[in-house]
Amino acid sequence: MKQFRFFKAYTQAPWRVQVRIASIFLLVLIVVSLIAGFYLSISAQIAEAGIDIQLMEDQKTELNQQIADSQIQLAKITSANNMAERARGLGLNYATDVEGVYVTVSALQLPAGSNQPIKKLVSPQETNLMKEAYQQSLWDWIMVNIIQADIPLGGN
Amino acid sequence: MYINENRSARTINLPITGLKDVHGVLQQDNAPKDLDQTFNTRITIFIFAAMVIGIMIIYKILVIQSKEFIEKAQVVVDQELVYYDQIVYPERGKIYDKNGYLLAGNKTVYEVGVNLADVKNPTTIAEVLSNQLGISKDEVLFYANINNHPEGQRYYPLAYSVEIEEIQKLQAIREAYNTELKKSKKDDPNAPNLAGLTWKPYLERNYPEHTLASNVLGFVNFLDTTNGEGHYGVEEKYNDRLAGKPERVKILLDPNATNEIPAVPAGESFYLTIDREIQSMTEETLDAAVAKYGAKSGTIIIMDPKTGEILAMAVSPRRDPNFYYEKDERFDKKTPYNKAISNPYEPGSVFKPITMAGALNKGIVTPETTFYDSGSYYIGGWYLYNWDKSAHGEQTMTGCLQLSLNVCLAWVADQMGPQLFYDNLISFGLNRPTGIDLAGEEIYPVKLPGDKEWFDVNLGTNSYGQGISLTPIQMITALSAIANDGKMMQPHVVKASYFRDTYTENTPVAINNPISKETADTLSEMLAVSLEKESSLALVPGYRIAGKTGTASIVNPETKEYYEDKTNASFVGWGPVDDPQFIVYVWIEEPATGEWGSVVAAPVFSEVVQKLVILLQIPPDDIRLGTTAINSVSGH
Repeated sequence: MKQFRFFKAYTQAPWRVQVRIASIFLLVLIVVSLIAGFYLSISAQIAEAGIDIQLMEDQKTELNQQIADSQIQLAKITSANNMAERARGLGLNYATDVEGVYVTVSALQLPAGSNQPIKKLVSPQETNLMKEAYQQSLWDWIMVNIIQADIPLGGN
Repeated sequence: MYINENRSARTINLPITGLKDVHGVLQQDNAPKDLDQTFNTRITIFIFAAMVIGIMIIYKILVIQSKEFIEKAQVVVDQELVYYDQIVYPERGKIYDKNGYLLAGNKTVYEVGVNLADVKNPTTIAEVLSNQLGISKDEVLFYANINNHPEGQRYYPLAYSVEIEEIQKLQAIREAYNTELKKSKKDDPNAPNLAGLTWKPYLERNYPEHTLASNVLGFVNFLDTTNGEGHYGVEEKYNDRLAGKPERVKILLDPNATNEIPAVPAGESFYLTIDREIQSMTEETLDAAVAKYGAKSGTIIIMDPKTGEILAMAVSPRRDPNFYYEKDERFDKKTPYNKAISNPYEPGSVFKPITMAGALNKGIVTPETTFYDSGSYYIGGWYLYNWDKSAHGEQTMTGCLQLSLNVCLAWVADQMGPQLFYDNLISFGLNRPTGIDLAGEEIYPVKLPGDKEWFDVNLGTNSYGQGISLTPIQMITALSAIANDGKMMQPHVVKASYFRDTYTENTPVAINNPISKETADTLSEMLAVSLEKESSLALVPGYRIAGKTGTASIVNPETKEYYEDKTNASFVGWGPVDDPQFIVYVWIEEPATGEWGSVVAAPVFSEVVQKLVILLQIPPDDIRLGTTAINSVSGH
């Protein structure tokens, strides 16, 4: 038995096909442009932050040098010689044993060991100031913040 | 026959053959051609795949053969384009006195140099630097010219250690020239121009107290900006810990990849046992004494006998470590940087307590043991005499110490015998360095029985501190045992260290127990009584002190005989006798006016102690022991 097959006997007008292709191309172009723009914007922000970090590193170095320098200046101003000269200028001199006046103070608790406690240095806590976002690519960021954020961690 | 629907669908769009397709005629005719086309396509794919694989193999062979080159190339590319290595030197740790006053820190200075490619007018740079910094004009002219440097060099340093004031002047000159250049608007190459001149700050070692305790601190040769390190004292002893560990870090050039530069922790800081006020007072007193007596030099050490902490260590002359590179006429090459630890000398009679301690400790003598002083003592084929060449008749051991009789002590040593005498000396640690935590400690080897240069007479002369050379730190360490119940503590100058928020305090360490507490107490009492009976100039009103003078002859290094007119005057003392809180050792070298320790060194000791008890807040004995009523204040 002979079989018959039917075929489409018409086709779309060429301009329609071209319009459709152009539309799809433009749509893809827009999407790619959006992603590229978004990526570029993030990259620019990262770059700006990177430059800020470099500048802040320089500032940090400069500040540390200023602190060290200020300590020296302060130490020079309050050096033993300078203080002795200032004292002499005020008409003071070394106390002698006959000038010393001693009194007993009941229940006075002196610090153990040295009469004068040692001044302890205080330094700021060293912490990692760099935010994680500045070290992530767009892909990393999407993975961490969007995709993996939806993954339940388990537990009740 | 069935036709391929897809193929027909492709062909139906053909404008000419579209109608023919429906009859199935052309499909039958085209069948062999399709087979050929399929075959050709497969061959093409195969050849293409083979070529790709072949290229990959060739590439791999090249990579294997030139792996090193590629790695090097990658490094170059990385270094040029991605990052550069930088060695970050940590800030050198600071040195404080025991109360936190800064003794050694770091100040900002500048390195001045030229960015060679930016230099527009080398003559201007040469003139300005010559005028402002005193650098040779010709030198600057040469080095500011890029053609006088190897290819690729971009920068050349011209001056180091430039102060901020000089930099401010350079800045003002540059701004003035720039203003002129803008006004003229002409691109005149001869116009004054400091383009290319640059400066950058860095930290340099500095000692704000200048000469104060400089013998203890040492110095850093900071003018050597790459290999500068500590010399002498604490700076050398703890150089590695003070300097910290330099770290190589990658500085990324790509802002996208910029990361924090890892924090390189500053070197360790140290708190010393030195008390700035006591040190200052001691140096002031010593300088005055050296000047007063026209002495060659002087040394005073103050120690806490209970802990071995050095409260002050003064020498005269001293150097300002900020100017370590300058010549000092008073400080020639033969002068040890710290005489207190590196200048052995014959101490003389201050040594006698050590001889007496050994004899008392072994029960060979007691304070009441008598000795008849005929004015000389024969030992080892030689007659030994007293310092005054006189005979003093019968004396107790206390009297021997009070009158400082050489013949008596020679007799005591003879009673002990060489074995006991030198065992005693060794148990006081006098044959070895004390191990104080300062660089540069030196000793003169003690001659012992059996040594080539030891003779029988040495037993006699050594008993009163002649023929034996010891440093002041050896002497005070040994004698501190008498002031500390027989226990000898390790002398040290570092009280604590500080690194990365961790504060570590050193624990005092006992070196040895050369004598018993009873011997120490007995000898202290003998020495206190000696001073009191003698009405010594070393006495301190209100405080009971134990001590001993010393006057030693000095050997002429050329004739190997003792000078007639040169002596070393010494004094050692501690107090209060019932509870010693300090021991002070004074050495005045070659005083020109007055040769005796009792005249020269004893008053210096007294002056130091009178000020020391106030700084240490030690009340007079009658108040401290409650034998005198004083005002009373209630407090909490």
